[in-house]
Amino acid sequence: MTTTQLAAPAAADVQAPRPGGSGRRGFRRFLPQYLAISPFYLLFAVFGLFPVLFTLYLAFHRWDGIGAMRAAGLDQFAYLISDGTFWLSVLNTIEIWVLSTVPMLALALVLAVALNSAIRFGTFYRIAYFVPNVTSLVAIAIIFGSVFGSNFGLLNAFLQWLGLPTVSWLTSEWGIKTAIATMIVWQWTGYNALIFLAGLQRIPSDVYEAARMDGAGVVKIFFRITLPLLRPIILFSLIMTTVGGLQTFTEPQVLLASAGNLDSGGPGQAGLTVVLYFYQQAFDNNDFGYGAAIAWGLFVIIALFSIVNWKLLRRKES
Amino acid sequence: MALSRRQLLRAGLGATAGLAAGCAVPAGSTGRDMTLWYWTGGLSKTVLDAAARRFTAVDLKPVKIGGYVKSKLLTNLAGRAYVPDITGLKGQDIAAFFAHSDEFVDLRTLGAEKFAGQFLPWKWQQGFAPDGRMVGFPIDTGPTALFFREDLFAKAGLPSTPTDVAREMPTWEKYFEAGVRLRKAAPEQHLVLNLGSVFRMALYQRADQFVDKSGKFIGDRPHVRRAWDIAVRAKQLDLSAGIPENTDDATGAYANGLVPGQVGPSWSAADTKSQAPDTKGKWRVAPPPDGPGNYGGSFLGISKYCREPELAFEIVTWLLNPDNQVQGYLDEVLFPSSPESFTKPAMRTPDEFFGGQVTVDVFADSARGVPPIYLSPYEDILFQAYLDELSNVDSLGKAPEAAWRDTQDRVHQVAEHWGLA
Repeated sequence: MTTTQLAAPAAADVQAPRPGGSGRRGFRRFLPQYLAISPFYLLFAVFGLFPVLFTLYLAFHRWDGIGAMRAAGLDQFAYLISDGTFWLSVLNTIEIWVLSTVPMLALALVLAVALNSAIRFGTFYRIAYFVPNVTSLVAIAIIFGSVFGSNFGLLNAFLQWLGLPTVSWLTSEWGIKTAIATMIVWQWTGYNALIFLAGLQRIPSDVYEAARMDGAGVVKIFFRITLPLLRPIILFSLIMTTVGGLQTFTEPQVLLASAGNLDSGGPGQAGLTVVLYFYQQAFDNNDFGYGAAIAWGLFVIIALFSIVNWKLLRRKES
Repeated sequence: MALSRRQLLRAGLGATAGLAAGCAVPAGSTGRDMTLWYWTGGLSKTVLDAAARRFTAVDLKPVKIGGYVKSKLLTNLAGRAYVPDITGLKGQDIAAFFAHSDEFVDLRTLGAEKFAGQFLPWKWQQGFAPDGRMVGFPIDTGPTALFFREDLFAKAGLPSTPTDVAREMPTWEKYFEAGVRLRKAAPEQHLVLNLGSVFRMALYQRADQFVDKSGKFIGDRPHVRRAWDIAVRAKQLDLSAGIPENTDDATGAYANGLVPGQVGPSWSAADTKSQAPDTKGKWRVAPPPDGPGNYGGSFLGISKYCREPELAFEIVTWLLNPDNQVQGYLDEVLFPSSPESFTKPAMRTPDEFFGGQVTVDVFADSARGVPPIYLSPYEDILFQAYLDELSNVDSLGKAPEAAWRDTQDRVHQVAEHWGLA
């Protein structure tokens, strides 16, 4: 019995390789290639895929990080739906997203058009606009904290100098949201401007020439030619901004950090985004099960946004 | 140097293998090391250096941990990796580890009980988990006191010597009355930084907090309502500056005399000294209105991964003996947990920042009078809900009664989620 079992693969081995090779042989033949690309997949499996699956498992349990996990069924999700603070964090996140996305994309478009017209030091400006994007977010948040301080902040000092009334930026609901949105705008406008710039450079110049021949002005060209031809790029930016904006975390965490109100988003919890609430529950309160449920709640929301985006895109194409 | 494809491949493989090998990490320290986790200002550097020279059977390796120490310790315990032999446990965090007291060596088994008499009884008791195991050995305490600017109080016509302030402001109500007078004289000055800090100080004046020893939620009882009402009273009298703690605005407010008085723990003096150095000599300390409380103060615990618990315990008790506690106070304003330290001559050094006042008298009286506060693992979680709503009252002008109702809805929901009957 053993002999037949051993013989069978041996016989297969002796056979001439079929064209194209069997799965196993192909794998062995391409082993160096598989090994070469494996680091990414291994790292992704350990730090990407496993945590995602583990979070799903966690969301059906109670766990404080050290002890045994206790099955909780759908309790965490039931609590999530009844938890007013979670819904407040959802609303905050969407409000901050709107407050940041609209001015950011508008500003990026203006910058891109400016960069696209032949100016000197083009490369310098491109780098300059991109630098905020690669600056440490924590450092930015600390600086913005000094800018937005109510009594001793730079911005209020400037307002006072202009003779305008000061705003308690970090202790009022819309002040907090504006401050966070401003940070996002500052960091991401240049990035989006460069993407728009790439899109602008794709538009053939003869379209513009034809329009100019027909007597269209600068404004008309912008709204009738540039904007329609740029639509796919704008939609791409919008999707990327949605994914990023719904995960806003570091800005409120550092900007509103205070000994007494750890990760609570400041007065009115106005800066409490979904991810900040997730962090507070999981890592400040050691409530990892509920934290996981919040994370999946956010997943559902992002999925909904993506479906809406996708539908919009499809309608435009058809 | 040109890199061939083969070399590149080999380098990639090597890196991957190294990563995989990195997964096999030790649970605790290795070799001759004995690791000790603490944080900035958590222990005296002088004392730690002396300990490293004194205990030569091991290499004592103090590691300063930045950020959230609790989260980091929890991560290492959960991963059973690089758990320190000796670890600092902050006063507000220690209860969070009580459910897993078996992660630590029960200090009673190392003979801790013979030291009990050296420490303040309420502090000693806080190191015990509900199951009776002793997890933490006392480092320091945070007795509360009333800090005030002598010059600004005098200018406003308020009592300005510590004795007079103690006599004239024995209660929160009297303190607030002084605040009203102060604002009449100098409208930009507030005696309260924010409502949350008053609530905290008032609550820490009572033994009962949000959860009792049987695990029952008591955050709706009169002792909590009392602290809430005191905080709200400060708002009604318009005494709050509405500035969150640890912000640039708070630093500026202290440095510029906009908040010339504050009830706070002893260790907050260290913050004021470093953040408002120009106010040196102008501050004084008086007993807190309505009696003492305690905020903060830490412990040292020994993890179960420690390979030499007896020696670790010897190091812990030496680090925290009455003489070294005095050094901790001089270096880092860690107020001693052993009453014997209070009487040491070095403790009676006049503090120039406080105009040459012998501040230990105020703090020691306060420390001796602290009620036996019971902190459950859920205090910070529940505290958040009260602080959130108080900041709504403070900064957004929410009606106090509506805020109290919303707080109660929230805390009952949270208590139910955590299974607190």
